[in-house]
Amino acid sequence: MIRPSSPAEGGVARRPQDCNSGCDGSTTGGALPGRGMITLCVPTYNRPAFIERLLRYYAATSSRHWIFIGDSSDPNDAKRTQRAVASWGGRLQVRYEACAGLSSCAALEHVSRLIMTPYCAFLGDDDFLCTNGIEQCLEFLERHPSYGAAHGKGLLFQTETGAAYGPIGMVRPYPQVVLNADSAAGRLRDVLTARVGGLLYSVHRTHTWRAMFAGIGRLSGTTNTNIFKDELIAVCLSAIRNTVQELDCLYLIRHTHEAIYKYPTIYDWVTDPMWFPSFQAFRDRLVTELMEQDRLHEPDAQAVFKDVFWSFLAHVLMNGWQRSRQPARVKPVSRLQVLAKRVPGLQRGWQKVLAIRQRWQDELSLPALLHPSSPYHDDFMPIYEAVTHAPADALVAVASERHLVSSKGALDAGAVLREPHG
Amino acid sequence: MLSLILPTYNRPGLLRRVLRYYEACQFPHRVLVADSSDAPAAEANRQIVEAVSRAMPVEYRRYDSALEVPMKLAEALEGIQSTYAVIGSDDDFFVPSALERGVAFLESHPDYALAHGESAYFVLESDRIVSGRCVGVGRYLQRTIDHASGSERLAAHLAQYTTTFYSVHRTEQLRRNWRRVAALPLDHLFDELLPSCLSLIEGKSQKLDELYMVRQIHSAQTARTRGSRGLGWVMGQRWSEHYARFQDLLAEELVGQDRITMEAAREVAKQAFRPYVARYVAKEVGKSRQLHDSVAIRIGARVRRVARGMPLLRWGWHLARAIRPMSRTAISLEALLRQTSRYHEGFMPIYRAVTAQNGHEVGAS
Repeated sequence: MIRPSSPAEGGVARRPQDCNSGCDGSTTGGALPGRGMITLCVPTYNRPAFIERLLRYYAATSSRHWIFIGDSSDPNDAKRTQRAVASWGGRLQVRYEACAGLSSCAALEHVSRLIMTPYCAFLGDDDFLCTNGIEQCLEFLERHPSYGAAHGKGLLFQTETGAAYGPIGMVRPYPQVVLNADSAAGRLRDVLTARVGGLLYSVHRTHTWRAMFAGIGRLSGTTNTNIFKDELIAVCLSAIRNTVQELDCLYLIRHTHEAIYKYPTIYDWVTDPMWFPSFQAFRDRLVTELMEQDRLHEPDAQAVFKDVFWSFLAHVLMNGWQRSRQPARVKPVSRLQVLAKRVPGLQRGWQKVLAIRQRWQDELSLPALLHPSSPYHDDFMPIYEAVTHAPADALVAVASERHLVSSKGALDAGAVLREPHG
Repeated sequence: MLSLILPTYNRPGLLRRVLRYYEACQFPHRVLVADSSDAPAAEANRQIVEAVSRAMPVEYRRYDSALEVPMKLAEALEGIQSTYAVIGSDDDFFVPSALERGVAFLESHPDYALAHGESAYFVLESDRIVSGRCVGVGRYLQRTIDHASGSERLAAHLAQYTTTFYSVHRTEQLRRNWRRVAALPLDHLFDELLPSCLSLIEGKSQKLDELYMVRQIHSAQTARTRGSRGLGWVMGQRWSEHYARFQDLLAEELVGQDRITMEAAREVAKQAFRPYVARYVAKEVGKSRQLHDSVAIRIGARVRRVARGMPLLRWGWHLARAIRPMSRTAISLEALLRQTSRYHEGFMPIYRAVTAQNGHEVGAS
């Protein structure tokens, strides 16, 4: 089922073996950072428009990083994704892997086995890892062998229409976890008490990455749409094995939209018929890792796991329930606001005042990022361009994709990490 | 009109105490002692029942000592002829007048499935189970749940769970529900939850403003239960299987009650159960944390023990508590001992029953 790299239009997509860096999982010492040293692993399912957008961005920033696309799409969308890959193959180091029938974590595991660069990171097909941010992380990891992973600042944005292309309506910070504890147990505790999302986006050393995903796709007794398999095991293993640093550069830009893949909640998972086997697999894996990393005896590792995991579960279940009870906040519109809206130009003027205030108050707000004085402006603008300026052919594709969404249901059409057999 | 099912297990001292209480109250309703004790205790229990049977309508039935609670209750309920029934163990005391009010309420409110009232728990001085100084009384939460639909009542019930095990029920409903629970192999927490959830789907519950029941909190084993406790419940190998059965049974009941589809009913049951699981896990994690912090707990316990051992300090503490102004509906030992308490009259016979020692009453500490 696995195809070799697609031939590029007007050239041949380079293969990872061509990279100039050490490919055995070790760091490269004197190798030039950012030149074929990292592979971005992009699992995708039925979203060629996002892949097209992603590749356009990397081409615009002259990225030399490897991009491996693990495509579990249905045949029609798979063809469109292949065309996008072929059209950008001449300018990018991109490899297409047909992963039809593979779950997201199995696709990721498969792609991870093919990595020949010393570093790698996960990338959602609707998100961006800033080219310059990646290079800074690579440089940091090269200089600091004691750190296992690194990332920069994170952002979350929404387009006004909710589609792949369009004006950006909202931008806000997307905090990512920093892990500095000396022990694996401490880092596991930190990652489970912070937000678990985001850690897979950090630049990782490939040998750790492979270990994080090894065997996950084949875990017996676990269903495909399972937060244990898709995210939690890898995130926890990363925390157990790595200290993680955050750098002052723009790095992760996540697109949130209605069609985003939604994991089952922790409660869905606890009430799933396959809860116990998947929990068992998770527990055993983490206990083994804790024993190895902290040189613990099994009962001690079990105790650490119990303490950390139960607190996490209690917190997540309680928070999830409390959030589900909160009524949607509807801000009342005052009479003054209604009157103000009737005054010509007042609303636009007010928006400008707000933008100025936002620019000074929040360095990661849209007005701040759009201003040339922002330290993140240069890195943000190519992403802004990639999202707000749709190519003519993409508009046709988006229109047909919207039709697809309405006919198949939002989740089906939009799932990045959706499990084909889920 | 009413029968009291009194399950007991290897605790003749407690059975004697509670039957003497009902005898002293001239309890007018039929009491069925459902005994699954081992041989020596069973014989003692039989003699206790025989002794009080001359003064009140009490019947003794012996069950296999290996029988677990749901099966025993289901079997015990089979023979009940009265329209209403209430279950209370050998360490629980019902106030007869409140039971009668419960029956009257259910008689006049056919949309209600349960009635209960204000309830309290008490703790005897350390290592004392049958009688001794009463060292603490607190409120045992009971609630009114009167939402219109079964789905809403189920959600309200599990969002802030309080047991309905001791409520006055319509016998037919209670029998059917325990029969259904006994037929399923479930862990004891599902055993407890399921009948109360089924009852609340069937009808509303009313808390009456009267002292209804007083329970004893102690460390003795109360019954033969099945399954695991603590975090092992959710982490157990059989959790998923048990949860699926629990969800299905609730969904079936909701379909019949609210006329919704099975799929919708399953989702209602799943979402209603969510806060219960969340609270349960949080509580159990809190408990295990306490075990980790056992040094602090040990120090706190030692300080309290030393303080209790100082007669003057103890006397001053109780005097201060006894003379402070209290609401008529407050529930504490000092409040209930006051004649002005709304619940004083119902509480005093119970207080005498648990503090009497060899015919002499032992006062509060």
